[in-house]
Amino acid sequence: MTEKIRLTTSDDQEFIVERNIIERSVLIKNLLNDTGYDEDSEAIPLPNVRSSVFKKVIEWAEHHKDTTFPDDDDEDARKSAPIDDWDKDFLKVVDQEMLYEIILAANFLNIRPLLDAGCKTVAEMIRGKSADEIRRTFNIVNDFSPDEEEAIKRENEWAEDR
Amino acid sequence: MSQETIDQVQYNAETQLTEKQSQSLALYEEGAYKESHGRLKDAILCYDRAIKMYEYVERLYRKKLQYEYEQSVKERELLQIRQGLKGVSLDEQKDGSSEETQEGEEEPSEEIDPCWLLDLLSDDLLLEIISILIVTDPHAHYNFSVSCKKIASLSFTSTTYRLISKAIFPGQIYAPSAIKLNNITPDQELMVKNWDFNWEMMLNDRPYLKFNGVYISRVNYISEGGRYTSMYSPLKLVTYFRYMRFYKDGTVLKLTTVDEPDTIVPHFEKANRESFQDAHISQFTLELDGHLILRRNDSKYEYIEELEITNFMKKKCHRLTWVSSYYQDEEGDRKYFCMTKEKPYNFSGVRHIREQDVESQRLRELEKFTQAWQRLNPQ
Amino acid sequence: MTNVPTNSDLETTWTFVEPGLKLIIGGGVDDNEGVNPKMYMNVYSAIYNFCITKSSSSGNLAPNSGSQSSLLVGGEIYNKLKGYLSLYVTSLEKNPGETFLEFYVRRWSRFTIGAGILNHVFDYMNRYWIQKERSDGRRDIFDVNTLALLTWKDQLFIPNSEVLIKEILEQIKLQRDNQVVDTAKLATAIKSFVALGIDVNDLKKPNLAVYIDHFETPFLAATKQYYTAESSEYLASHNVIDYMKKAEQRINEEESRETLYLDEHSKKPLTDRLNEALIVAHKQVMYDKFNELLDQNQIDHISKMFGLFNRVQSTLEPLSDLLSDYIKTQGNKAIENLKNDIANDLTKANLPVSGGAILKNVDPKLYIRTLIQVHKTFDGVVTAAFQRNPIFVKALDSACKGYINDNSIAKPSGYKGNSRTPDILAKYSDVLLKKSKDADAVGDMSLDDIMTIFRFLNDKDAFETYYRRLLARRLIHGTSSSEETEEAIVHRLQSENSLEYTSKISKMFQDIRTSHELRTLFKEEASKDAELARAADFEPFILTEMMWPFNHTPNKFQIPTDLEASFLKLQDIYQSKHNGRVLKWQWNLCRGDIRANLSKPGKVPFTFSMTLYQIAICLPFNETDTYTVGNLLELTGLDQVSFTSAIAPLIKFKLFTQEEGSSIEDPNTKITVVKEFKAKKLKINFAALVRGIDNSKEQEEAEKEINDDRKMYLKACIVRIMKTRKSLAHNMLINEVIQQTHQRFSAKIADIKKCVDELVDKEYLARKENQTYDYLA
Repeated sequence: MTEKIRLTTSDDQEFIVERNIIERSVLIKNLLNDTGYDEDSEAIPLPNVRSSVFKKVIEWAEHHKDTTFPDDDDEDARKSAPIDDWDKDFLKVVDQEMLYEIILAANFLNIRPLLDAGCKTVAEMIRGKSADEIRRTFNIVNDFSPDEEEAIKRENEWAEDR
Repeated sequence: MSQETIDQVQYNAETQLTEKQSQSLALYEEGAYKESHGRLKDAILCYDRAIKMYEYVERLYRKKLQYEYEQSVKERELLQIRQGLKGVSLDEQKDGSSEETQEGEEEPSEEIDPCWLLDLLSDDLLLEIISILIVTDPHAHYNFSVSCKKIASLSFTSTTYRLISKAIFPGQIYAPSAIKLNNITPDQELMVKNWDFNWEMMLNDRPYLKFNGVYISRVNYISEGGRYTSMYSPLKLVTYFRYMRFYKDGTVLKLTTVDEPDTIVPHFEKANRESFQDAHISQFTLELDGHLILRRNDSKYEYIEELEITNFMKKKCHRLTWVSSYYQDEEGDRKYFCMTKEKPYNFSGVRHIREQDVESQRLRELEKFTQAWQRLNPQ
Repeated sequence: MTNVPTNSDLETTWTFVEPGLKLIIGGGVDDNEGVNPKMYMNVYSAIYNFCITKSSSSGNLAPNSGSQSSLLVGGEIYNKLKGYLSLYVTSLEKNPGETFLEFYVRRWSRFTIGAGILNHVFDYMNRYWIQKERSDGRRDIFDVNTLALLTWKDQLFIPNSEVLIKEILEQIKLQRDNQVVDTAKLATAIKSFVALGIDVNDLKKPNLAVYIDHFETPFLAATKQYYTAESSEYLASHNVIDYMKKAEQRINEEESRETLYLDEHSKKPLTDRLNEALIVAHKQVMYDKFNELLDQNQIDHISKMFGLFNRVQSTLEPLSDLLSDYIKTQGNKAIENLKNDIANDLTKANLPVSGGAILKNVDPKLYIRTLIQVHKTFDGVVTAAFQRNPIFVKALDSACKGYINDNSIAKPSGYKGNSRTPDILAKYSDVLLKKSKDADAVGDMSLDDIMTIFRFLNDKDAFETYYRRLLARRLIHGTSSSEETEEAIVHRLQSENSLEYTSKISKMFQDIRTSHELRTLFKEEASKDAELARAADFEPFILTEMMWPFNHTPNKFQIPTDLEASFLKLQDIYQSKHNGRVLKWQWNLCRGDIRANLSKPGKVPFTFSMTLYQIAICLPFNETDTYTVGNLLELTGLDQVSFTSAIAPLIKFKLFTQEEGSSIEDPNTKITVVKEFKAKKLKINFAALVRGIDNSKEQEEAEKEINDDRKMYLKACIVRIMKTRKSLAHNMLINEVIQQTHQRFSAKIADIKKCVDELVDKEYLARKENQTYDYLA
């Protein structure tokens, strides 16, 4: 069914998306079912999502419109599974700010696979780096004093080794 | 010579060393140099002479090292301040917000940019990211956790303790008797009930073995050499190492040798067993309380070693302390080895082993993922 | 777009969210207005913002208060929601015009929809905070949907469950009384009980506690009560047949009701209650009617009764016992009738009526046919009314075994021997397999009938013995009607039992075949010799001694000179083939055809079939017309008894004349051959007229053979058992033996004991203390 759904982002831009694509968002899917949405209904507002971000989300959803994602109740498996190649490339080209906005949007809209892809992308940016390098990559302010830093390192060191 | 005690030994900018002290110190340093280059015999001679010259030379040496270190740290700090790099504060107080440090910066570079990661993402999402690191790369998790206070606080909460428990405990090898006695199950959700659903407590309470590195025990002792024990007869300083590397299939590779870790650790694995002299493979099992038992058989005897996993200061499960070591024959007659000289093992994480493990886990997951994906999305 | 509160103030957020909740859960004035997308999204966003904002600012706190702060994040909203739901549920009130049930169902339907939507709208809280709390062990925090259900359960259902259940049960009762009720409402209400069963430790596990405790238990009790009362009342005023119909109808009704609104779980308990109240409680009444139904052959009603009882396995056995007894009675009755007929005939002929006499005069065909008839009838009943249910097939079989083996003919009163049915069955087989002029006589007999009865015999070995004896005669005298049929029956016996069972019979057939070959060989040889070729056509039968039921009594019989040459030649041929074997000639069984030129001149000579003895007696008369008895005895070498019996029919039918007034026993009596023999037929069978061995003697012999065989078999069996067990207690040994011989015959314990004693005497076994035996190698 190519029913079209109207949505309005936080910056008042209207989008028209095919139902089966936008239903990747569990939030939207539930909303459509629970409110008995039809073509006479008003557009669905998305107060927490900007249009530029939403565009990206739609792009992702359209690419994956025929994908079946593994229904993993096993959270460990979901976390350790590698990122799909297309997703990796898709998220590589956006700047950090957009990446986080996408993650936030995926979280808000409840799109699990996109959320996972985003978080894993960030995780990849962290891996293989020292603490200093991590701070530089993300512009994190080191709010430890040297003593505090020593202390926290000693405190957490054990977790490094398995 | 003044009657000084060992506690009075100092080394700082004002210290004036006597001739003897200087010479002795120089000799000692020479010995240390030789030792680090594997020339043990020569090193012992130097030490010997140095000690004879000034009895507290060792303490002096240590104090010097400490002083020099402190100096270098100070220098570094000065250098950093001069270069005006962010992230270093000489003051105590700081609060979480990152915008404040933007004041007073002259160079407009990437450093001015805000930290989007912490600004935009909620704690729940940061936790997601941390969780992924915990499951896939513990080393990265550690590095991330010391980057700032906020991340540090998020990195060790009940959620993360839960994930760490689920990553560690199912891989531990328990003795069947222990499993039965304590109802041990790989399902940590069930195990944590015994600690009232407190994941942190369970993690602290349950000792575990580490697989991504080698446990090393270093034994120094002075053996009586020769017929007379006077001050002038040569002392024999013996140093040997014991190495242990544990594998997830219940085996452990063991080696006792005088060779240094640098030469051993890089290729200390079961596949290379033959290249080591006298490397053994034993079977190991754990008890819930951290008691570790190693067993090995040869044609006549069974060799058993018992150790205890212990913490070393903040380092959880960093040590293996000796309990006993013995061998027994078919009838069960036991002969105990003397343990007085032995020292506990300390864990040393080995990067290439760590990376190997992460890599192999990735490959496994990739395979599973690809299979599942192909099944669901045949193209 | 109304501004979704983005700060973390609880009150602001709640105030914003509450109107939306009202629309979602119902409780506004106009309950038909659903929630629109904007409202939906607003509520969702408000909750989302609240949770996010709170958590972001918790970074300052020390690490281990992390869990505390998260408690604050979700907990506040959670508690607000909990309070709201509680208020809502307790505020629900029944309209004055509706029943409680109607009110409950109406509100429940609306509530569940609302709860589902709430669950979605509070999704963010579900996903993060609630999940985390539960994994930290908090079992009093639930996802929103479950929270709603629990609130409903605690605040609305439990306080009012009695009223609700009462109304539901009333409705069900009305339906049972054939009133129309709204089953949809019942279904909804009852399904709600299933939904309300929640296991706080495992939310995913379906839990029927509420359903069972509050509904199922009283429902089952009410059901039982209702039907107990109804069935008793009905039986008081109706007959059993009508009752069965009613019971069946009620059961069907209830079971279809089940699928409409009961949970799967109640299926079995309901069936059990129904069965108890309708069937088990009144089983005796039905049992009592059963025999009458059988008498009247009311297959349909029996079938219905079976259908009812089949629902409760334990009730089937008494019914099958009734059937078994009935069949046995019928079988015995039928035979009794037959016996009376025979007795009447005997009385009419002025003969004494005794068990033995009956047996002598019973027609095997009639007997077997009677037995078969009863079996067939009830086999039909078992098929039509009992669907060949194994219990009833077993009843039929055991009943048949009963009357076939132990009826008033086979075991007359006071008779202590084995059942005579095997004997009669063997005779029946003989009739079927013998050549007979009257084709119709065997038309209603069949191999199948033989096998049917055979299967029920207790003493199968007896049958084998009798059958073999009759078979031997057929084979020797060539009276089998068809070799195929003979072989067929042997095959079937073989497949029923074992190769060992028919081994003797098989050997007998083999002997016949070998003998045919020998005959061919003899013919070849004889053709070379002119003299022999002229001699009589010789059909030798070489029989393996132990296999055939003939005893060899050495006698001094002289083979007639005319036959001597052939006899010697045959002996030669055989000995050359099988050197070392000893041939014992059974002259008494030999027969031959002899041509007699004693007819009117010009007419065709007579052909007489005679026993060899008779031939031996006749041939000398080729020389002279008269001999004395003594002469003949000398010439033939016969003993007096054989001579007398052989010559009797020849004298009776006037082939020979005996000297007047003298006894055949007197050696001086003269015997003369007639000049002209008068008879209607050209072919006369004198052999058949020879009075054979007395039937009873024959029977005695057969019985002895059977008993001897049994003893041997028992001993062999005992030895075999003891060899494997080495040591065995007395009772266990007896049991083993009975088990192993059961197929062949029913061994009597006394016999087994005797055999054991004999084996002990012969030192095969040793008797030990406490009644055990040891095997002695």
